Amino acid sequence: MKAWINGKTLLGMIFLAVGLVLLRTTYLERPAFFTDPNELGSLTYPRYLIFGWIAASVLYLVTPAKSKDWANLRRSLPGLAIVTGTIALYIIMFEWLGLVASTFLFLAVFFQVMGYRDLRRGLPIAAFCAVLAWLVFEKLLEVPMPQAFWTDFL
Amino acid sequence: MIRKLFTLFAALSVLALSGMPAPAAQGYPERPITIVVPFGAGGETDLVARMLADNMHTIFGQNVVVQNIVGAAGVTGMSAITSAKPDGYTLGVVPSAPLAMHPHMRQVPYSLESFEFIGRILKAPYIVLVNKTSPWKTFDDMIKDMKANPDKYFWASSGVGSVPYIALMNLFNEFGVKVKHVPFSGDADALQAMAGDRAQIYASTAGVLGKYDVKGLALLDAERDPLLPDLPSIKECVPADKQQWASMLYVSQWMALIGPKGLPADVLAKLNAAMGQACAAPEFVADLKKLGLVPGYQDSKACEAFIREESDRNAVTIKKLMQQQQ
Amino acid sequence: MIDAIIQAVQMTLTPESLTALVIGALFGTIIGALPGLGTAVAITVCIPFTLKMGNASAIALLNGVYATSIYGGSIAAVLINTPGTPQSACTGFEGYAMAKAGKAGEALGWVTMASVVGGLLSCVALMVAAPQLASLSVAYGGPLEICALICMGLACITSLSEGNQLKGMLAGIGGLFLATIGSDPLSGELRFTFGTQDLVAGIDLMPVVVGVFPLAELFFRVYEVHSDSTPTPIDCRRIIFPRLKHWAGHVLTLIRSSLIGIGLGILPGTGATAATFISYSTAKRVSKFKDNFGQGEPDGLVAAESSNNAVAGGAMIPTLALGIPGEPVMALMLATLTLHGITPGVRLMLDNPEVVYSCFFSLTLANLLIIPAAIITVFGFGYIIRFPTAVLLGIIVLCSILGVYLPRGNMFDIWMALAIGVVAFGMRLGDFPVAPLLIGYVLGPQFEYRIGQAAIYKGDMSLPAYLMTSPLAMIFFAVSVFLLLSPLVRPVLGFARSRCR
Repeated sequence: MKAWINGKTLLGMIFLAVGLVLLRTTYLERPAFFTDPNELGSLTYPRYLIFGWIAASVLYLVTPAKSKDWANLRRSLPGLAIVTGTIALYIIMFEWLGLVASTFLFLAVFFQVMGYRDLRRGLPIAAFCAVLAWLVFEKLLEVPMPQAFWTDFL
Repeated sequence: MIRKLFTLFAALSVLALSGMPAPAAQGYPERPITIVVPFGAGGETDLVARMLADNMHTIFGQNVVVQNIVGAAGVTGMSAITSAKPDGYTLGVVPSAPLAMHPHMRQVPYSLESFEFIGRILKAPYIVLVNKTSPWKTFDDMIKDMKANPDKYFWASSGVGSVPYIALMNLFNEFGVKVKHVPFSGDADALQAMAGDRAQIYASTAGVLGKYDVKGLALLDAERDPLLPDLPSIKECVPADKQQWASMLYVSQWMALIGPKGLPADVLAKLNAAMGQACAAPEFVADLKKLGLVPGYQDSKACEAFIREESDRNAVTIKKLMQQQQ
Repeated sequence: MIDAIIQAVQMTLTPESLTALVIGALFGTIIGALPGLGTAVAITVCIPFTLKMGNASAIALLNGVYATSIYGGSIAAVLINTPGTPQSACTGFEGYAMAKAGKAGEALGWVTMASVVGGLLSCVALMVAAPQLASLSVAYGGPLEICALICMGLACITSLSEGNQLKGMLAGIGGLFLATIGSDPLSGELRFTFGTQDLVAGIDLMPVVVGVFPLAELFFRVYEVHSDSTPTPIDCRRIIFPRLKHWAGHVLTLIRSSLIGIGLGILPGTGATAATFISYSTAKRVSKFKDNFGQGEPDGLVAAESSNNAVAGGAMIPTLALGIPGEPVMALMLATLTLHGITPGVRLMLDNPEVVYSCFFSLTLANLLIIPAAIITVFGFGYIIRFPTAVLLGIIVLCSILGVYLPRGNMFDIWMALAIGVVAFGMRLGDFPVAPLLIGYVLGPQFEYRIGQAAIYKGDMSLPAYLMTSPLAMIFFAVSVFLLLSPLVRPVLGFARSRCR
């Protein structure tokens, strides 16, 4: 790596920038609440932490980089993005559709995404997991879960 | 992929339609009621809510489930109550702090106007506590000693802005004594420091008297507690010429059953009646007693008046404390 | 006293209590072993049930669940590399390495036996000297001592990030900073909330644990599927318990770690996480097998597991004898006992000694029940880990989301877990150790809060004068310096020595 800007310096820069921005907020934020005449203010301790963070980021920036092969990451990035997206969708559905429906849909889609294409086995497994989770937590243990939006019409 | 999406939609619409036809409610409640508790399972509020839920379950013959929605010092749970449909199927059991104190201290997405008050469950006045081995025999002894030795003693709170904090801070300010404040993260931590003599004064409710080696010096209320006849009320401790600010020193812990604004009148009436019955049930009273709590039931109207009065008084106290700090 | 013990045994050996204990132990182990679900979920879910049970049964159920759910997290740590609690993280380092080397059964055997022995030793300490130990808790529970104790925990960061100290430092500071988000423990002022209500009380433990372990592991496995690296299949048909002769060489670690666990359990504020990391790091410094640490060394498992189970008994001491919970879970235990008309506190030992002994007794039984519960659970998990990757990962996602949602019912927490999971995965790719992040995050709030208190008590005293008030704190600080510097000193010394020759 001869280029001046490589992944590591970039990361170091990001760390440093985050540290500086946070450091600035510790001077900006006005206490919105009444204080007690304590020895330490509410932002003293975090400020020291941020100083430490900035020092560590600078050190990180100046130490030499070990070269690392990122080809694997580049190859798997689309897959990772899809999985993250599926989980995000699941979380959204979890709130709107309730436990059973969202879990079933998520697992069904997730199996496809992960390359487990055998619907004849995948769907029953998905249904089984969803119903099992519902049986154990909602029925047996009586834990309240998000309710599907259609229960409001009942 | 498209086929998958289509299946998804088909499944959704079937599910949605199957739930559609529902006649208007006649006999409330006809499905389980959820009581939201804005604090974690196993806490005092949670336990009281569960006991109340149990008793209301027997009265209604309909399941009453407690749901803990924790986060943002109670705000997440409070918001869950205000944003619920006002049909009587989502209620909340909440203590004093998020309802009548936090709105005066910081921005919260609700106010007293966002709620319907069904009733007060209990009320426990705070007690000024000192170690059992403390040389102070009376409240007066303590104040005299503090006046003679400013900044010698430490008082504990369960965090700045907590109820014990406001209670004691206000007390020391009114009496004009100088005591150093040490915040703790809760009752247990503060009482541990009391046991180790790292703090000399704390305030909590009657429940701790039997549990820890502490004694009460004054009850922060107008009258004595019939269960603690030997404990003088703060009103008796305030010098005669300053009685006008005695009422500013009353601080108590209470909990109320509330619902989102706009509950139908008949639902509110039913809940009011059921709650009155539940709070009078001997098992409920006995359970409260085990927690060191005393029932203090008030019905919907009285509860609302009480909470408004508490909130107004807190507003004045907190404003005064905040100004002093600046 | 003998009467009380007999009465306690009678109380605990009723069919109802025993059933509650067995169910609790099995339930705790299974919930703990599921990736994403942990002690918090197991206890939260049990509370409503304990309200409807008798005294002894409620105590038995909670003890069963508590002791075994911590242990269960270690099964997941060994087999799937998803510790259920921060205190199982060290088990993951050694156990998963052993599992990858095809020794999953042996690893679980060590984990199980170390847990049981650590737990039993702490029960013995409880029975023999609860009142005396409780008074220690009061005398040495001051802010300075606790600060020093937390420093010891934080000092472990260097020994857990050998090879890349700087990255470990960054992760550790990051964790400490993460813990400052929300309201200040002392003044109640809000910091770094960026205007949202959701951050007012800070970031909860569960999203962090679930993000750092199961979700990051999930992303890593997806990454492995798509990249050309071949994952090592893990197979485990049954537990293989260590023979008596294998214990030679581990006894010292076992005793030292159990003592660390009991001691830290008694003192308020730090709990099992600090105990485990301190005992693991100490072992890494002084163990006979220290060169093997990180590559699947049973001694590391013994150090981690015996101390985290010993905390259970240690934490019970101040809870019962003083009414002061030594651990968050103990606060829940306290509430349950109170509700059953048993008031933990100074009078409990005098008024109801049989309740205290019943507690000890059921904790002892719960620790013994770990063995059969482990055999059953591991048998079941042997199947689960052989599922197709897609199915296993789907189950991990489902459990993770439930694990975050169940204790607090808060959707924001789930999003937070996902975000932390993505960050933790990135850290893993970039060789940033996650353990320091976790240590910083778990110990951070107590650290800041106790430093603030110490500053108030210090007042106008000079710093050395204030430090002199607590010899114990001085010892702790000295150990912290040792833990902090020794990993840094060793390479330097080695270098110097090689130069001299």
